[in-house]
Amino acid sequence: MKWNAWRKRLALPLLWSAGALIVLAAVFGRWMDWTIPASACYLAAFALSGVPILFRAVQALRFKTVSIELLVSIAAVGACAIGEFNESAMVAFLFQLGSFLEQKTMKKTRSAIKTLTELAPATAWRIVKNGENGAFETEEIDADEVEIGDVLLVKTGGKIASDGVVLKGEGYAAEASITGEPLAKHKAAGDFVYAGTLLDSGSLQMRAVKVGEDTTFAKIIALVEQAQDAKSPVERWIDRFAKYYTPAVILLAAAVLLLTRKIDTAITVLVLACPGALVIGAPIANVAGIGRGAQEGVLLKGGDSIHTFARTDTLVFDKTGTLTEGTPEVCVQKDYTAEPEKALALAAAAERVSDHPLAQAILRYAAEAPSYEAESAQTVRGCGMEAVVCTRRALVGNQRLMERHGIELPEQADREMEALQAEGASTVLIAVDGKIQMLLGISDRLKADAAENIARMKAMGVKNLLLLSGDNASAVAKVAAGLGIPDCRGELLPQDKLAVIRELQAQGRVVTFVGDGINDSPALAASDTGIAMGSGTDVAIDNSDVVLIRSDLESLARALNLARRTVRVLYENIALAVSTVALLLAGLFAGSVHMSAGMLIHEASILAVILNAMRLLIPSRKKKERKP
Amino acid sequence: MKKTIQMEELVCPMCAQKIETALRKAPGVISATVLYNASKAKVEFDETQTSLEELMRVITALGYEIVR
Repeated sequence: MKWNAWRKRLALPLLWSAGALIVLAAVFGRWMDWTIPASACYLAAFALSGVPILFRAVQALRFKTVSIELLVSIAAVGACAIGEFNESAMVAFLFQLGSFLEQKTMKKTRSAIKTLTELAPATAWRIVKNGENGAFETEEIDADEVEIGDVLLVKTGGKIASDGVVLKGEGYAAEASITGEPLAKHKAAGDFVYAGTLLDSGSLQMRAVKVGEDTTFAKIIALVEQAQDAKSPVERWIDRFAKYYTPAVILLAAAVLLLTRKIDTAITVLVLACPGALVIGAPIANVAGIGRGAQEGVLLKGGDSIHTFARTDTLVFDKTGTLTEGTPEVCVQKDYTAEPEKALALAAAAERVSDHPLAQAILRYAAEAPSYEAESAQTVRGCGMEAVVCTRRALVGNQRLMERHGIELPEQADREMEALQAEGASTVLIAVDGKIQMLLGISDRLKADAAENIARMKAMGVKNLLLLSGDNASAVAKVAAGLGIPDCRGELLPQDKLAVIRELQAQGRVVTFVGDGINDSPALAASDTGIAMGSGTDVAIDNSDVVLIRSDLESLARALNLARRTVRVLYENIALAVSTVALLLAGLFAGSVHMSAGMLIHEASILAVILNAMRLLIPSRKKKERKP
Repeated sequence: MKKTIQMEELVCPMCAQKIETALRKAPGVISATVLYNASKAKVEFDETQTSLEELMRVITALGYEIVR
């Protein structure tokens, strides 16, 4: 082992020996008046705890950095030089003790994300040979060795080692870490399974589709790890500041020496002005905040996004899939033809190529109807579908689509459509060969916790809430009113949503946009903070500034609260660090602070900022009360 | 080739910087980043010039242990 490793192994015994020597020296000096043995003990204690500090100081200098260790080294050696052995021993010992406690608490603060990384699969069972009548041979391999296309066996209670598709067998997988879904999900042939999830029961054979760093699980981990190192503007500023501040302290001490001609005052300046708490205070807040979020299914993408998100004063929501369940159902059917089954079947054929949520609802509704193949079908953006089915011309869409084709609405249909819209339903008209034949009312249930959490975010002081949707205006208004969202706009195309967001930003608002991440990606990208509700889909993870594992509004409210608390802790830490240094320096020039006492207070301030950050890891009391 | 090396817990930002610099200087390394809080080194290297074992030795030579 290199001597760096030895240094690490010996650090603790050295620290305690130095402590013991200091106690011994104090006993000799104070009560027995044995000055020489006392000084010898102090000197030994200084050597034991001071040499490692000196070592680190020199190491940093080799990287052209003036470190805090250098300040402390100069101070301690200086104290020695003027015969203040007790001061130098105390300063070195306290600094080492402080560093030790700092490491311990840092470890604790970082450990929050360990619960996440521990879910990583370690091994996998690869099927090497398929015999007759379903018999097969397996070998156990490292999870890292799984390659795309490998066929894997997942046993009951086993972890799934890669993202993939089930080939055979069935079982229930617990996917909370990826999708946030608390109940285990049934998996059978053709279903997608995620790496890092657990097969609660059953057994599966699967083909690996994404492996290693490309799995959703690995992406989530990488995101959190990178986030903890990603610095906010405040932190970058502090880093730059510390780079110049630390050498400046040496100059300040030199100036004090020249002016006062007192070495002890000058070296005390070195100790008191250490920026220790300042450089650690801001990053530790982010590490704790991000770690806490990771435990709760809220992934904050670094200091930058925490800061911007915390400043949110305008929340803009998309409707479908964000405030509503996203699985709309046909609830009303009005016929204006003698052959409704035929009209519905033609509409279903036209909708089959569309991925619009309303189209999906119609397809589910028409599952029983005869199935036709459309001869041609095309999407008219923001309007609906045009298709030719069984040589008949079918139009499925909104009123705008009918107007484009010059089809007039019968008076009854017009009345019934308005009534449905007033109730908050989306409406779809079906026309065959230029005649309106059917009206469908489709509605989408609101998410159960939507109203409650919107109220919560309002109470948190988010001033402006806005609902933007492509759906009809009255359905949008109905949803907005039901949730207590004061402002809403309907019948918007994706570029309209983008324009609204730009307009809000031009007014100086800090906008958070919450959408489904599929058809509103321009708005998502343009907003200050974009959040895609996608339950672990790649789109949601890549496009969001804040990723919510569970796509619900409680996570959103919680994320906002966490971001704000993190920023508050960060500023508290900076204030604490700056005021400690200011008070100590003021105390020094008033003549009442000694070097070792200064070091004690200084180390205490470092521990104080770490402990303050650790508050973020404690679950809030309010939440416990809510969930007895 | 891209690989991630998990090291023992890094306790000072200086350590992270030191490892990063050493890795970048090692022959065959295209890029290297050390994630301080996660104590991980992500290296991209030319496998005809160096190997994962070789890069792990660079880290252990600085006195840091490798977890996996």
